[in-house]
Amino acid sequence: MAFQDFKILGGSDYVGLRNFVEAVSELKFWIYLLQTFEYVCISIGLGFLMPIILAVLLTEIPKGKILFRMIYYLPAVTTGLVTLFLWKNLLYDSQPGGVLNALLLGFNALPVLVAAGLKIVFFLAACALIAGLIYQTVHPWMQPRGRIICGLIAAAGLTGLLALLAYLARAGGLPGITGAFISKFDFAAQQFLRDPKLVMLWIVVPTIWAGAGPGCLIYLAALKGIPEEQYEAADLDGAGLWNKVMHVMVPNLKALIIINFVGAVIAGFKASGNIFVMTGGGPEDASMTTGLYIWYNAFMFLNFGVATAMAWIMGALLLGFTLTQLRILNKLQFRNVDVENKTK
Amino acid sequence: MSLVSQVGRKSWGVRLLFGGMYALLLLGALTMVYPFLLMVTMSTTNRADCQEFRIIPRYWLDDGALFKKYLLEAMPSWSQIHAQADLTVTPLATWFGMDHWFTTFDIKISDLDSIIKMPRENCRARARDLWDFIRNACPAEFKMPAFIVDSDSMFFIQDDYVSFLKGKYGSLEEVNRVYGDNAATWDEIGMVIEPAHRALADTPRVRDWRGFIEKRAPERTGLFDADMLVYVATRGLSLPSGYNGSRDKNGIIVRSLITYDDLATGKLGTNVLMKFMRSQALGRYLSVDIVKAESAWKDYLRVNKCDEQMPLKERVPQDEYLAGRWNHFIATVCPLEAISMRRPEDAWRPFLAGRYKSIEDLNKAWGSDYRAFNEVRLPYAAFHYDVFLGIKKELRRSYLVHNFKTVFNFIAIHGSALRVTVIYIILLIAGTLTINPLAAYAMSRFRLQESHHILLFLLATMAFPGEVLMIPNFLQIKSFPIGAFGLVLAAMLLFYFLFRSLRRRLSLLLSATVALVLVGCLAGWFVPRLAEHFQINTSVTLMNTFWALVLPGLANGYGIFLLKGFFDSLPPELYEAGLIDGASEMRMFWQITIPLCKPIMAVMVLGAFGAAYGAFMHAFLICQDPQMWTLMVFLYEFQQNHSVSLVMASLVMAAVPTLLVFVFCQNIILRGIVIPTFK
Repeated sequence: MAFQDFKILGGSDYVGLRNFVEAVSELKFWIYLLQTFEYVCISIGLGFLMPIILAVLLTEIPKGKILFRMIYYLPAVTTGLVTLFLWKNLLYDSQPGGVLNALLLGFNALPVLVAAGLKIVFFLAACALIAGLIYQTVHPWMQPRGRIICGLIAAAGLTGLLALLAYLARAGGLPGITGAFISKFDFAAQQFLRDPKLVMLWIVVPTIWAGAGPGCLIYLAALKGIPEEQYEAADLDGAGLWNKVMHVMVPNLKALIIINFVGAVIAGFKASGNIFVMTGGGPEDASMTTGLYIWYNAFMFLNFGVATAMAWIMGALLLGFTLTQLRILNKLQFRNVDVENKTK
Repeated sequence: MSLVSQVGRKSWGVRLLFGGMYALLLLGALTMVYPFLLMVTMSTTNRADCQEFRIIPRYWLDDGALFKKYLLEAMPSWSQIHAQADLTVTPLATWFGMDHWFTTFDIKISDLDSIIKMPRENCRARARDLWDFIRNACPAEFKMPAFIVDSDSMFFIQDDYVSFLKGKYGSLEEVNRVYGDNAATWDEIGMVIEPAHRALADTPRVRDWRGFIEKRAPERTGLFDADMLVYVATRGLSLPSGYNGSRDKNGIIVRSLITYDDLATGKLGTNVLMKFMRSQALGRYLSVDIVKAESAWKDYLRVNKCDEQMPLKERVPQDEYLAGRWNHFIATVCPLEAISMRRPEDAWRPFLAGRYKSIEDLNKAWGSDYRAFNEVRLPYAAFHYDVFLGIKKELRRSYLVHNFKTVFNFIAIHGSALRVTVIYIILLIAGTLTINPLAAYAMSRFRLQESHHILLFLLATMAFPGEVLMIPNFLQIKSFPIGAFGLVLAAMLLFYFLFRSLRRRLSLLLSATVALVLVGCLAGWFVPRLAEHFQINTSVTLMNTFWALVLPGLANGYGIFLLKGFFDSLPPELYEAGLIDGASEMRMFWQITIPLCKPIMAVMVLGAFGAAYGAFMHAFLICQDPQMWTLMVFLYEFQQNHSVSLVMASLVMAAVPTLLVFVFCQNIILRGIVIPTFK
């Protein structure tokens, strides 16, 4: 089909590579590809860890596991469309009285002391996280690769923090920094899906929200599959919480995490339905992704040939990921865990 | 289980940690539950309050809110006779004297206090009087349908009307015969719309409609309200300085309390009266004083070159041409003093005067301060409040379940959706359970060198956006190449035969090639010619069949892949033992492999269930015949023409099966999850 000027009522002509040329020579296609990257980055950055954290929490709490598990699974019960509509019409109300905006503006009303406390706690938490990562980096028993990754993340976080401080200091000198900390919150009412700058973020959030519960199931099962003895041994060796996460939990989940990561990237590139429902690609095409553009080309403009050509190009771009996925999958073996016996 | 070690669980640090975890989880759970609770509660609302987005709709607890809901449905339908868009709550505004009511959102519950706080016996007396009036003394021409606004309402008038007709005629054929109609369903016998400026001819249909309105309970009957027309007409005008009407507590004149009496007695000025009578009043309710207008009518006929013998009627004539002339006469040259408007008050006031001997008696019973009977207005608000109090409990209960009932009835009436969905689910589950395991088994048991590539090919299908696959899928189903399908089958059989019988002499690859070449020749040259010669169509359409629904989802690349991995991990000793015992491949498949893989099969079943139950786009494209619609397509259609609340109710109901499946099968789901680990 990609080689034809395809017409749905028949009479399609063979046009060679013209569809591909047309697809590639369009500037829009590349812009949308970049935006797709943005979408993938946001959704991976924010959403990938969510199910894992949720699964860990659900595993650790002593009581009410099943109840919470069911609650978090709720979004999967209804069709995805409904969730999106809920967010779009209900939570993303751009008036100051909308649910999310009211919440955001509610922070502004907090007294100075509480606001300052919250800010400082957040700042300290960020500092602590970075410090922990640096500690990991210089730790002798980490593998070099792990050390490099930890170091990079720590460096990025540190740069961010310093940049923030520098920005504040430039705005008002040293008192500017303290002033920024000891003051009320100053959030503005959000435009949500009508804000071209942040629209991608707002599109991603509902997906993460809805995906955390169902996504955590597999991690839950995996966590239950980790033998208790490993934790006990770690305990005996005097490992703290952090060490147990890094040296018992992560290695056990590694294969699963890698596979899911690759899968999430591929899925992110293919995403189009949810964007279509939320914004239809707007405002000003700020949320148009390649997947959606293909869809528009095929079903709105009826350029089936070009659409298919683009799909092929995208498939080729994703081929690397797909191949990686397959290669890893080949190296793995699958087993399933008898969950229920372990919970007792 | 134990990132947090078992030892030292009671220490404060650990407790704090657990506290934090619970806080986080609770916060998350709140965001999960809130929208869904909202969905559930919204499905108990209706047009009146679905936009409020309250987790507990006000009417659950608050009588005022319930009354508001009821009022919005009890309004007479002005849209029937007066095509003016802003009439949504205008009648209510004149009942309560509230100038700021324009839409349902403007109605504050505290606005209703004037009635809710009224002493019970006064309210009762007013309501009783109006009830008796409507039942016994009100002329039929002023009665109009009420409870007509919303077709999703449980009071929707059409349902009453249909049951009235059923009671009268028994069968639809009879109705069609009498009316000279050919309605296919009861609902197609529409309600009669009385035109604003003309009286309808006395056909059986109109007679039935009027009889129906006449027979309805007074609380379900609306009355023509001239005061409301006056309110609409004078809303934008400035009032003469001498006018002295009802004022609110700030001393501003309440516009919605300006009555027709004020207008007719000239308190608002002649210009306003003229404009009202000439262009805004409804011809159906106007009457002309024949004596006063006689000479003007003669002039009118002469100027307009009409038949001069045409008599002047007091009320609008039935004949369309005459009615047109009559209305035109009023709108142009009829002397103002000859025109007046008929309204229920003309009968209402004498009725009251007969019931209460003096105005003091009436004021005592009503708790009002009228000076004369010709001031007394119709107490609509009190009347409806009284009715409302009588049915309050029942009303609240029916509001709670009404939407669900409607959805259920809708599905039950169109029963094929449920049947199709169930069959579809069963077929898809059966299909997934045979095709995928067989394919995976073949690849797992007989380690072909190519099986890796086959898997790769299967998985590659996942790399394309699903939307793009939709077109080829659709085209293929539209004209399914059954001939080609048969050829492939033939090729496989031939290959099997060759491989079996000539095993010694031909290698696997060779026999495959031979089979392919033979069939290729057959396909490329022989069959098309044959088909052409015998006029056989080599493709059939699968549209609107279960084949179309099931076929595209049968084989699932990822499922096959998972199963293969799973089968691979089974110990080969099992099969060796089976071979030694002389079991055939099929027997080993059914008795060794499948029982060992129950958990993952269960997950695949659940997946198939979810896919079949939720399938929308595909089912929508493929099965356009309503007889083959699945539940989801059906709900989609339902959503197209029903209100938000009903849509929510339908979604809640659609979520029930999936929720049940998860609640009862979550252990199966969890047990069937396969976790990859490095070999």
